[in-house]
This record gives sequence, C-alpha cells and structure tokens, in this order.
Amino acid sequence: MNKPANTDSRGRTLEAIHDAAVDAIITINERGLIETVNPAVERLFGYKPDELIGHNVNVLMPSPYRDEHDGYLRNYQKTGQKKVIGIGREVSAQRKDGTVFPIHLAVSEVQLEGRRVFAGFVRDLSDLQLVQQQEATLGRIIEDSLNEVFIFDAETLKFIQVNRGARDNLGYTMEELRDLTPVDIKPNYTREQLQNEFLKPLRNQVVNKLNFRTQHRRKDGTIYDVDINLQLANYLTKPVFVAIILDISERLAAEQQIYRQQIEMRAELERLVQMRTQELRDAQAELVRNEKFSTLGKVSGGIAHEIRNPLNAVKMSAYYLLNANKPPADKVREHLERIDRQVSMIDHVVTTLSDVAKLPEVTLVPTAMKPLLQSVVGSVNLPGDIVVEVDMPDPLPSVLVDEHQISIAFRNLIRNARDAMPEGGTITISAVSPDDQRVIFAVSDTGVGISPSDLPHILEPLYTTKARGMGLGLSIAKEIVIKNQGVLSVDSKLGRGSTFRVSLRRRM
Amino acid sequence: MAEKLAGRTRRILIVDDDTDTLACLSDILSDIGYETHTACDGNVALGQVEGNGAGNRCAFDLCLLDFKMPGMDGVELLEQLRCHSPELRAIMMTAYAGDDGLQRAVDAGTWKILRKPVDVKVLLGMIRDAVA
Repeated sequence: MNKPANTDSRGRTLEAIHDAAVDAIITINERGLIETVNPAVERLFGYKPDELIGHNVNVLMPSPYRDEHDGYLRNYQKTGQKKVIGIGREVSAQRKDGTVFPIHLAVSEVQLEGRRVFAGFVRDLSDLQLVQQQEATLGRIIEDSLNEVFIFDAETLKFIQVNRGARDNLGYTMEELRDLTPVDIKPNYTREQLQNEFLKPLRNQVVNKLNFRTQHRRKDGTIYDVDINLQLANYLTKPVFVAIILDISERLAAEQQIYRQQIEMRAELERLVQMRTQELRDAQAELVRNEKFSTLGKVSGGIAHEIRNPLNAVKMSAYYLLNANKPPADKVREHLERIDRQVSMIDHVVTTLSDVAKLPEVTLVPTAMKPLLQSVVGSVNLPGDIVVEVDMPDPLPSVLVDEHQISIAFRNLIRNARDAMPEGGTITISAVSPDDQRVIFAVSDTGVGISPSDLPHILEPLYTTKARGMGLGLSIAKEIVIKNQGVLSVDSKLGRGSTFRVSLRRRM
Repeated sequence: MAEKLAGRTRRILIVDDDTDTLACLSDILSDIGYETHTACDGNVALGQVEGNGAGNRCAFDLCLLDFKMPGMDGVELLEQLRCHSPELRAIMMTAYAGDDGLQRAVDAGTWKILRKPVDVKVLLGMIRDAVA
C-alpha cells in the first residue's frame, strides 16, 4: 500500500532520528519480547541487534528485576496501574559483560496496527552519578571542614550554605543563618563598606579573589579574628559569594604572646644595659675617687717624709738637751743649731707647698736675669764640693718674666742640680740669645744623670728618683716657665749629668 | 749605768743618710753609755763591719737602720749585715706614713720597726730589750 509522500517522508525522518538517537530505544511486545533496537543499544549494552530481537527484554536487567519483569507486565495488563510507563525513573541495567549500571528509563505505551507495544528510552546515568557522588563527597568534606565555609547570595547577601565548622564556632543553627548576612557577623563592616570594598570589585570582576583579615562576632557576642578568602561563584545557576574563613585568634594570640615577650625581653635588655652603664659610671667615679686619694696619698706621703725627718732631728736634739748628763757646752750649741736648721728645713717644705698653692697669674715685666740668677744661687745651700760657674754674655738682653716666680723656678733647678751630685761637681749656668725673640738659659750639672726610663716623667708632679723629696721641685719649675710663656726642656746622660734649658721671651 | 751592768759595753751601729739623725742618736746613746758607730750609707756601714781592711773588725750587738736611703736601702743593708752576723738584731726607722715596702723589712728579719719622728724613750726601751 502506498503511503502519501509526506507520510513516507515523515517515516524516514523518524527512522533517521531513531537510528541517530544518543539514548537507547527498545520496543517490546506485550509478552516482553524485544521487537526493535536502535544502534545506541549496542553501544550501551554490548549486544548486537540479532542477539536481542525476539529475546525477553529482561536480559538487559540485573537480578532481581530480571525475574520480576514478566510479573510487572502481567500486572499492568491486569490492573492498568502504571509504575513506569509515562513516568520515567532511575533503575539499574546490565550489560552483556555483566556489569550493572544506572540508567534513566522512560517507557511509552504505543498502539501500533491494532496491538500494544512498549517503547523504552534508556539514558546512561553512569557519568552523571559519578559527578553527583563527587559532589556529595565534596559537600561532606566542606561540611566537615574545620575551616569555616560560607555561601551567600550575591544579591541579597543572605547565607545559603554555612558549614558545620562555621556554625559551631558562631553558635548559630543553619535555620538562623538563612536570615542573616555577613554584615551580621562582621562587627567592623557596614553593609555599604562590605559592598564597596569587597563585593563590588568581585562582582565587576576587577579581582577574582580577595583575602582580608577582620573579626567575626559569635551569637554570644564574643569576637574572634579571621582570615577571609572570598570569591564569586555560581551555585545552582545563581551568583553567590563563597567565603572560606580561618579562625586565627589562637595564632594571633600566639603572635601577640611572642610580641609581648619580645617587648619584655627588649625592656629587660634595656634595663640590663642601663644597670651595666650605671655600674661602669660608678666604677669610673670610684676610679677617679681612688685616683684622687692615691694622689693625695702620694702628696701627703712625700710631705710626711720631708717634714718627719727634720722633726725627728729636732725631737732627738731636744731629748738630748733635756736628758744628757752634764753635756759639754759645744754639744749644747751644736744641738740648738741643729734645731734651728731643721726648723728652717720644715719651713722650706711648707714654702715649696705654698709655691704650688700660689701660682697665680703672672705679672710679666722686663727683667735683667744676671743679677736675679746670682741672687738665686746665693740663696741655695751648697756644699763645699760643688762649684757654680756662671757663663753669660754681657750685656744679656732682658726677658719678660714674673721676677718672683722665675726665681722659684731657677732655685728648684739649681737645687735639683745640687741633689744630683752627692759626690760634688760643677753647676754651670749659661745663657744664649739665638735670635731677637728668645733667650735660652741652661742649668747643667755633672751629676748622676737621669735614666732613659725616668726622663719622660721627670717633670711630672710627685715623680721623684730621690730618697728625699716630694717630687714637686721640677714640676713647679715647669709650671712656672709655662706661665711665663717659656719652654722648659731637659736632656741627660746617665753618669754624665743633666742639662735643663729654659727658653724665655725677650723684651720687645 | 744599767747599760754596763752586763759586764761589757754594748756596741750599736747607726746608719742613716740624714746626718742630723746620726749625730743626735750618737750623742744620746753615747751619753748613756753605749758605744756607737755611725755610717751615712750602706757601703760605709759594711766597711765598718768588714774592718775596712784595717783589721779592726767590729761585732755589733744591735743596728739602727734608716729604711729609705740612697743606694742601698735599710733592708738590703740588713741582708748584707746578716751575712756576717746572722743573729744581728735590727731596728728599722722609717719616716714614711704608709706601709710601702715595710713588709720587706719584716720578711728580712727586722726585729722592730719604729716610725720617725722617733720617740726616744720608746727607742731606748727597745734597745735595752734588744741587747739584754
């Protein structure tokens, strides 16, 4: 029988669709025997068409459905109650190789040329289920995560999903959270600030991820520090924000603890430094004090020695005079003279000390040195075995000095020369005027000389190589010469003698 | 005189670079009966002990030494004198206030140390004890 062209064309179209369909299409008769299969069936189940056509469709089902399928058909034909027809449901199927896999099965009942056939549309769900399983696993992981995970609506900002970690920390149930937004748990941000600073840039895709640190407020009002990672995502087709949050209050507390410890350590260090500095200062002050005492000790030691020796002689002479049995007249005289002489020596010590004490400002006047020096030589006690020679040009230019003080300086130099010659010798006092600026005087002796190790110190106060003496004579001479704008220098050869040179300013 | 009761005159060596001290001590001690020999430094003193080659060697009962003298000081002199008379007693006199070096005098076997100015009564008491 000829079919109209359009009917024939439609039939070819349907056949092409049937052959090209991704879903497997199987038709069975009322008894469950397969009548047609499309090519997708072989791809899905592994059976060739002739292995299936005429066979019971239950070969495509795993137990227990395989055994029950005939019963389903009979039941439907008896009761007309549809369990799968026109509904579609997920069921299990079995391939030729025995593997069972999930399918979506939709069954249509078709009246064809007066009889009833059933067409089954089978879609493989294996991949879909895998994805769903993965999603479920991922969901569980997120739910169980100790990080806090928030998903909230990009428009209303209301929370859609909040994981257990977040719920437990915040103290809210999911039901409570669905009515809240991030603004409700962020005490440091208003809705506007949150929008402007974070949400808008993400929505406008200025950035695709944001990280920031702020605080969250729990239901009970307590606050904790958080690190937030925020990004835009799609959740069931609508835009949402996903926030993954780390509670860093413990870490911050630890950091603050470390910071506090550092501050404390720094303070402790500073305290130690200050303490040590103070100790150093104290030690230094102690040193200065000791140095002063040591100087005082040296001075008083020297003075004591210089005064006690004459005092000793005075005391013993007095004892002799008081206690001797009928002392001869010349002995009496000798002891009285000794007392007189020793008192003069003590007076000399006191004079020397006051020389030091009264070295006030000098009064420089033009002075003729020749008579001055002769007078000084005359004032020094010299033993008979010491000769004094004066060798000066005539006339000698006058110099600018303080007459009184420069006398003390030369007296000390002459005494020093005398003391350097216990065996006797010659003291030579000379003068030259090398230019119109200066006159250089020299006091030389032929005495013991000064050792190279003593020479650098010989002009220092309290430095002495003598058994007697305070070590002040030369230092006083040096001080006076300096005050008189002159220079005192010394050179010496051990065993040969010493020469002290005094350079003074000529009268202009 | 008590000083002569033991039968013979006690000989005392006095060494001091201060000639006034020497003269005074000599006069005082001679006046009460001691035989005194004086020296103004260590070498002169040793010469007296060793007899100066003249054979008139002196054995002393006691020496009075100044601690600080030019050249050989009192302690060095005592050590030299001890070579000749190991039992020789010495009184060391010092004009120094501190104890600088006095430990050396003690270590060298000085019998007594006396500070200047010397209290003559104390000195005479020491001398009597030393030569008794």
